[in-house]
Amino acid sequence: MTRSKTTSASSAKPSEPAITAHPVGLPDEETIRFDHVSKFYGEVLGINRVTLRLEPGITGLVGPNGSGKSTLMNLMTGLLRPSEGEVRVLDRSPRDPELFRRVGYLTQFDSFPSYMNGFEFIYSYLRVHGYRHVESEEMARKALHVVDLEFAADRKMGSYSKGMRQRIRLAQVISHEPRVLVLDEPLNGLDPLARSSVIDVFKAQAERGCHLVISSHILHEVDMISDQVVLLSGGYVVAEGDVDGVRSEVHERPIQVLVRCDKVGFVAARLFEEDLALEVTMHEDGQGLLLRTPDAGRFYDYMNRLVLEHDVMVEAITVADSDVRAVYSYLIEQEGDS
Amino acid sequence: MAVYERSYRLWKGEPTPAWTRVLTIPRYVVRDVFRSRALLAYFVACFIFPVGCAAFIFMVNNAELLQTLFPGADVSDLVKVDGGFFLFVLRRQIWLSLFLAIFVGPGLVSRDLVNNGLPLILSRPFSRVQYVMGKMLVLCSLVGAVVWLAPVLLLALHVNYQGLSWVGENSRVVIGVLLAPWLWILAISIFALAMSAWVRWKAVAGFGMYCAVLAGYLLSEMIDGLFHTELAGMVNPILVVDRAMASLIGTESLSQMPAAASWMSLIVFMGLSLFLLERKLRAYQVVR
Repeated sequence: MTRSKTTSASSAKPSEPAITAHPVGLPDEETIRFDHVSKFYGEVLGINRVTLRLEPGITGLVGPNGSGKSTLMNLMTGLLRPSEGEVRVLDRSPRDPELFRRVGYLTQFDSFPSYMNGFEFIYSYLRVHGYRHVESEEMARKALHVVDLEFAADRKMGSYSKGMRQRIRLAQVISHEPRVLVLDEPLNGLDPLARSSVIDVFKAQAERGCHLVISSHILHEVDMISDQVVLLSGGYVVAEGDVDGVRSEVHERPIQVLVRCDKVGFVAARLFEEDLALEVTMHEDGQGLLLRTPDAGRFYDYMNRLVLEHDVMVEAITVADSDVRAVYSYLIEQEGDS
Repeated sequence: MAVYERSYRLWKGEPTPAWTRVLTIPRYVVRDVFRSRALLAYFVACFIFPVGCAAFIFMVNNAELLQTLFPGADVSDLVKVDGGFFLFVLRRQIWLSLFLAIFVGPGLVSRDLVNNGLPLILSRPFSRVQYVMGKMLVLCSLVGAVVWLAPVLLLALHVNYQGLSWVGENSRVVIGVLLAPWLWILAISIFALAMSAWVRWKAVAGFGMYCAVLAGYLLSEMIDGLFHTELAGMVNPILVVDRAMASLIGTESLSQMPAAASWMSLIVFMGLSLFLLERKLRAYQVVR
């Protein structure tokens, strides 16, 4: 699948907006676009000059509280109007009522009408969408089956556990089979088993060609399921793209690389000679080393030369700090410190 | 991970008309309201007085029966079913419906606001106006049954006895009875929703509604006592509605204020309630 080119504003000041370059990819009807979008709540900054293009698949929104994740989601779902700029979801304005049939929004709030049972909750919102009685019943049953809550369909939602409430809300969001799923903290309150099954639901939706925009504080799970991430801080997009790509663009932070090979001493020495290693830790088994390199591009080229010219047998080379947590820490916490 | 398949297909069926979706809101709320036996009993009790009135209309239209009950009396002067009679019925029903609105209204919007439930419904093809209309349908149907339906049935009963010629002779009364109750139904419904949006505790919101009506009455009495002006009634919602209804039915009101003043007061009252409602019904949360 084609991915947007990774961009990072890590080296830029937060006051400068992230500038995104995109290859000619999917048509606008397939994407979610933010063009220089700003949202101010009076004097409070929501987001500022955000330019994004999200393609089908799972997009993780990552950022601390107040970074603008929910504002971005509310703009996408038409609950907010941008103060400046334009939002287009599948090439439609989020104010277009027709778009709502293609969008499902799971808010961060644990909100539900407690006087309804699980089935009625899903059924009634399907009726709001304009589905007829028979279709609504059928779709509600199907959604309950997906989240494995058929057994609780006739129980009042007031009696549900937090995990069940989260699942029933998810069922309600996917019940009308939307193309775009906007999910604010969808994994909150779920136990590991439920979390795993919900993630499977996300993956299944993504494989159908749907957009899933997910915000979460559970970074390793965002990392695990996301095709791309958007890192937000203080209302600005700090970086976007696939996690590895974002990491490789954080130039001021040396990349940690794990190398498994047979001549670890030799490799370490040559890397130091070439100023390609700042720090090296040898593995106890003598078959691997963990190093920090200031220039990932030159490092990979040089490793190729070592393999070809010195007969080094390389078993694996892995970037050790390219998960969302590390990138989050480098880009966002660093900004917080400064 | 990557996206390999594109099997998504949008549902192609014909959606239901947009106006019918408003009915989704009252569907479960009304059922929930009548789960309370006390409220159900009160609702039924609201029709005791109209049933008495129906018996009265029956007697009025049966001269022989009246002669038996009041021998020697001139029964044509004894009782009359006219605009004054219907306004009298409406006044009683308005008081009964006030308490119904106090019981039902305060929980309608507040429970959606308490747990930020508005985005649930507003991120669908459903506007804030439709949301308010759906909630108002709940109140309008309950209050309307008490204030509008009961008097209209009485009117129908009387017309049944008197014949259509009575309608022609009393067209203003007929039109007034059909329209006038809606002034109260709309005013109290919007006000109850506004109170529900601003006051999250049901009991406090209900008490607040009662106090607002009481405060209006006390304030109007105070102004009248100080300045001896007929306009004092403009701050008393019950008097305002009474005067506006009397102007529609074409009969005497409890208040002597000009009809235009009562209409203006009513418009301001409803406008203010709508403004308060609009300020509170937001589909998002702003942390400042």
